[in-house]
Amino acid sequence: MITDPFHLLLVEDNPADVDLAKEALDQSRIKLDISVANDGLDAMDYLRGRGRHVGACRPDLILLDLNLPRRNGRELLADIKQDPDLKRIPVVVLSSSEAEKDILQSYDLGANCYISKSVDLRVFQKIVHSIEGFWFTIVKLPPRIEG
Amino acid sequence: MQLTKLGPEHQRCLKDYLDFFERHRASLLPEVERVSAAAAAILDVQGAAGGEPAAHDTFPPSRSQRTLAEISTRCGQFVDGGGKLEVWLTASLAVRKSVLAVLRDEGTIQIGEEQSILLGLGITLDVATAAVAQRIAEGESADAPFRIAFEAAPTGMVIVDRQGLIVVVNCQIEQLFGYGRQELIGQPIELLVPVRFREAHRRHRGAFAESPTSRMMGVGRDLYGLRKDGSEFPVEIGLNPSSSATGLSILAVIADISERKRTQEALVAKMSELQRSNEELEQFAYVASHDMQEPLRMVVSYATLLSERYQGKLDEKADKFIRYAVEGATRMQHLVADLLTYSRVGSQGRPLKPVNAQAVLEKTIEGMRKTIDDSAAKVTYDQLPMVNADSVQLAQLFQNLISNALKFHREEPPRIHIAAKPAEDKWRFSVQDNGIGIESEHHDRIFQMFQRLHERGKYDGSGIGLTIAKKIIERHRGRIWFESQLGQGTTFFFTLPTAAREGK
Repeated sequence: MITDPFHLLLVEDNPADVDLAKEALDQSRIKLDISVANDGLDAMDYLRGRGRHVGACRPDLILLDLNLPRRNGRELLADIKQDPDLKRIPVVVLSSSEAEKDILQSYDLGANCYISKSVDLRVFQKIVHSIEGFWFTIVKLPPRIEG
Repeated sequence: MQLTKLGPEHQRCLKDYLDFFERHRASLLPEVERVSAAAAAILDVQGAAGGEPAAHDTFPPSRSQRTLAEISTRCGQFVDGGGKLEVWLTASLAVRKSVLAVLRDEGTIQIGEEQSILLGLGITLDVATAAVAQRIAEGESADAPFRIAFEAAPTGMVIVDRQGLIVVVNCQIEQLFGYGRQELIGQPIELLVPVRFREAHRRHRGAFAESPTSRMMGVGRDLYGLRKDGSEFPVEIGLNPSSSATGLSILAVIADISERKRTQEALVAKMSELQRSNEELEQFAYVASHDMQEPLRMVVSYATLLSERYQGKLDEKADKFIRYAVEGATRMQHLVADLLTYSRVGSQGRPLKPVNAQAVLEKTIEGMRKTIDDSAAKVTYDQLPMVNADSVQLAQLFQNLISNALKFHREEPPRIHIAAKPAEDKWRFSVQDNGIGIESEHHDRIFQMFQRLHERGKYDGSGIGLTIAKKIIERHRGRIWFESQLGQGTTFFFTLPTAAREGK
């Protein structure tokens, strides 16, 4: 059994949303190590272990909001998926937008899946649980790069 | 009264003149009759005075009986009348280098000398003019009423010969352009065309003369007339060619459309203003409802979280407050979501395309399967046609009407039937239910936004479903209405455009 916790990077600028996601994730039985980046640039710093994120752990999964200040979610998604070092990290787009344009664009940019945030808290909690259940128990993630 | 004896040449001219007017008497102005009578009298007198026996047989015999006194009276009448025709012919003949009559003391006829051809009271006899006048008469009609109509017409009328020279104009032309007719007759029509268009006008005129057909001039272009004072005004011109033995002449009917243009421009300005404000409003509703969703989601989520975590851990009042907060925020969330849906109908609609209404309905019913089964409802439909529609909105329309029918049911299980009938160039759809029906007093309110006919709790929903339905139908340029019997059921009707034929 893996005792190491899964690393999850939550890229989300709204602290209320961050807490909501954390609240939902906290109820999980899966051991999770959650990090938060507040915008696209901050997320890139995290992924490269720069700035305030020196020594940060490479995440096993990224939960990405599209609407972010500075470098937005689409740009960040493109950056990640074009970077040979980062492109294997699964990215789950979690957006309040249901616009077809956003959905198509996200997949075009290489998103691993696109999920609409539900306006209903209970549904949202269910979604979050499904995400972790699927990605951390069912999916075979790429092996971690040591070092 | 003095009369100089006429030479044979003069007599011939006078006779030609008389012939012409005799032939066209009916179609020419009343003044002409007086002139012609006067001229005939002159000839008669001449004949009586021993001149060549002028062709008496071409005139009514009575003419030859006229006395000098009669001539005098008639001439006087004509002079008093000061008819327009005199002015016109005089001017036009002057242009043609003919000889002017000399009218001296009232009632006196002076015959011109040397090359002068006889003029009867300012009327020159000029064969060319006669030919032109003949063309006028032939080109229009041989009827006096027509002649009067020409003169009295509320639109400007001008007749132009093949060379583009003005032959005749009516009163309105004088008023529109500020010229007297004597200033226009014999002038090129381009005199009335703004300088910058003259060259093109000449070319178009040439082309028109090649294949003359009755039509509007310069369809799609803005046409302008040039007044004598140099000002311009927008016109609309109808062209009517007429060819006769003497050649082609063109009747141009010219209407001053300044007023119409002004009204049209004002209307267009108002329309675009209205459209802009409408779009702004739609945009506002969209942005407002869209952007409100996010903060609202926070309120609802955290209020819900509070109730989940702290229900029963504070006091009774706190529980109640939290419940109110959750309920209020949730209701608002629905309203905002509905408002967003509503504003999307206008701002996010797709172009109308031929759509199989039946396929759309079947898909909609499939999507609503659980709701339909839960209420033990039976939804049936006839064969439905192809319509020109936005399929997403059509699905939404079906869904809203079916939901409505499911919601307002009676004790017995809801039965809903959808059908369509051709109605002129559209299809008239009907969605019939066996529900509670709608009281007639609510007819006006039912399509209004957020109007609910029942107290909260009995039937849920924000009351926007039918408003959205109406907006969808309006976007499809259709109509929606209903017929209902209380306790029996309601039928909603709406019309949709038939699918455009292929290749259109």
